[in-house]
Amino acid sequence: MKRAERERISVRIALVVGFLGTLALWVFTNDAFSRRIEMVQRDAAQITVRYTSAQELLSTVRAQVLLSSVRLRDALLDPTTEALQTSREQLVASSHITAMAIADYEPVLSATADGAALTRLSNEVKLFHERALQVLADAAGRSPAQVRDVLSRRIGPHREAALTISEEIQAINRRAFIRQQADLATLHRDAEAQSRNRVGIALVIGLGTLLLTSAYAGRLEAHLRTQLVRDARISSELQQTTAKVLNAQEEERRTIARELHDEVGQALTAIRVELDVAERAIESAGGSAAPLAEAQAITESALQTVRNLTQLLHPAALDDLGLPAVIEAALRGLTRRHNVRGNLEQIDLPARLPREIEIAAYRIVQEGITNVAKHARATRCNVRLTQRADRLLVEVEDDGVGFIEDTDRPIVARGLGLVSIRERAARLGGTFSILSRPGSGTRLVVSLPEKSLA
Amino acid sequence: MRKLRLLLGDDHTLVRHGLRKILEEQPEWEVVSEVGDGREAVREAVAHKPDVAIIDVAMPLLNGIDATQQIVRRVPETRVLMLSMHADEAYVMRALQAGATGYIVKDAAGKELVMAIEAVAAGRRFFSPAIARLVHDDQGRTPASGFADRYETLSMREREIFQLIAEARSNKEVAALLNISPATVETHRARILQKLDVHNIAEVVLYAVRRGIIS
Repeated sequence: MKRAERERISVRIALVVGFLGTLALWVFTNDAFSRRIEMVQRDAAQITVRYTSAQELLSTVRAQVLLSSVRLRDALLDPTTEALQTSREQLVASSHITAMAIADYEPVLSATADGAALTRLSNEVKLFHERALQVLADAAGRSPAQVRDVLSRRIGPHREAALTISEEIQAINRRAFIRQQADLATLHRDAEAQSRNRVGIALVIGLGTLLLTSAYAGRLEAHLRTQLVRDARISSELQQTTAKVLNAQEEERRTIARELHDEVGQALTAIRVELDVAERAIESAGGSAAPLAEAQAITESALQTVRNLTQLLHPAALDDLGLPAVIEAALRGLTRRHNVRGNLEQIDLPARLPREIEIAAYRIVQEGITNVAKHARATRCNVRLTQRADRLLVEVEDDGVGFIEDTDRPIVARGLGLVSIRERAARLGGTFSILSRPGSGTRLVVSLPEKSLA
Repeated sequence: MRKLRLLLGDDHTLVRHGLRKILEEQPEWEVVSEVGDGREAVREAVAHKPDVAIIDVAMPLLNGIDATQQIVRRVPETRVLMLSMHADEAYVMRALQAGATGYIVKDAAGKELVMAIEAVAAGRRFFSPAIARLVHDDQGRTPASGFADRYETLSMREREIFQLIAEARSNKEVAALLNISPATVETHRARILQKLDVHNIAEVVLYAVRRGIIS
């Protein structure tokens, strides 16, 4: 009992923990996953913005350098004062714009080692602009060939260097960006995998809890079923034992009654007859038979005692004549003494029934008829014996005053007769019911199974 | 004069011997057979065709009531006097249904047997006074009035017929005695059963015993 109690409690705790664990894991996983994904997405967006702006800045630098270079050449090839002036202004503006762009430049990733490249770019662009301005200052009177020479010697290298470096940086950025995107994708995948795992674990715990629950329920069920089967067996055994004891008792009573009747009764009868014969013999011989009178009286009284005893032990008429005959006699007695018209109805009743059933049915009907006589104030009493497949149905019905059916009121209060009927029916594994309403009679139904006696 | 031929059936030797002594006191009577079980009783009755068969209710192999039924059917000229330990209405009823003409309780046999045999041999009914007392009033009370009243509803002719039927006369005998047709007797008979609210002749006989119409 203690162990079972402990087990019950621990199983309950396990179930609660299992369910709560599953729930917590589920909530936590959902939360962690969404937070992680949000973070990754934010990072990705940030990096994309930075990357785009970096590339834009570098493109601006390049465009400015190329544009300046073209304007410079145009100015040098057609060195009017106005053109030179325009070119100078343009170069100053370009120098300014590129300086701003480089100043605005932010590395795409803090880890990217493009600081040095940027410095070089800045220098080259600066040099380019400085040289371009110098060249422009000395522009007057140069031949186109000189111009080309100056351009290719003093400007060209710096322009090309600036363009190359900016492209290099862009390439580095692009590589970094691609790597970063790949990293983010991996991170995303990892987060997904992790949350999948957690959901999996939650499912496993949930499933485990479910299995534990169903196993426990199954065990409980099996336990309950065995208990029920055992209870049923015990109760049926008890019933059979009781029925057997009851049968043995009836059988013993029957034997004693038979013995008493056959041996003692017949012997007393013989004595009684002999006494009568002797009396007549004495009287015909002229003597007085008076001394025999006492012997006759004693014999008579002893015989009466034997008769009463046997009747009490076991109604011989039941054995000799069967159930219907004795019930009919009892009903005629009811008619005669109480003016209640009796009737016996037999439905599918075989000539004889098992002895135990006959005696039980007889005593039940006897009790029922006594009740009708005592309490019912009826004009009719109907007894019905119905043989079913495995049981005998005994019904005693009257049209008397009836009574209020009150389930709260113990049946004991309705008289000992009913108690004895119920007891008798119960001991044979049968059922007993009584139906009544004030003014509409009473119906007593007893069902006696035959197989319980086998 | 021809002797009255008797068959005595009782499985208890002591009782049978006692009864036999009583029967042998009568010079005009002759015990043609003495039997100890029901089957033998039927066989001997068929063989000897006695005037009266004295049959114990409880006998081995074939009980007295079933034996009576067979004797009455197979040997119509034999009248049966039932002998019993029981002054019990159920037995009387069954004995009457089986066709017995009389019924006496054994312990009264010493005094009643001779009278009973004389009555039965003459075709009259005979019941021990104990039986009449029993059916009349089991517990010292008078029968319920409603029941007694039913006899009063019978007409004089019906009462006549009622008595003759109760005395074990056949329809033919009744018809001859009253000088009416057997069919008329049958009609009366049905009316009587209906009026008295009984189902068969055995009940009519009990009714008559109770009313003191027959002894």
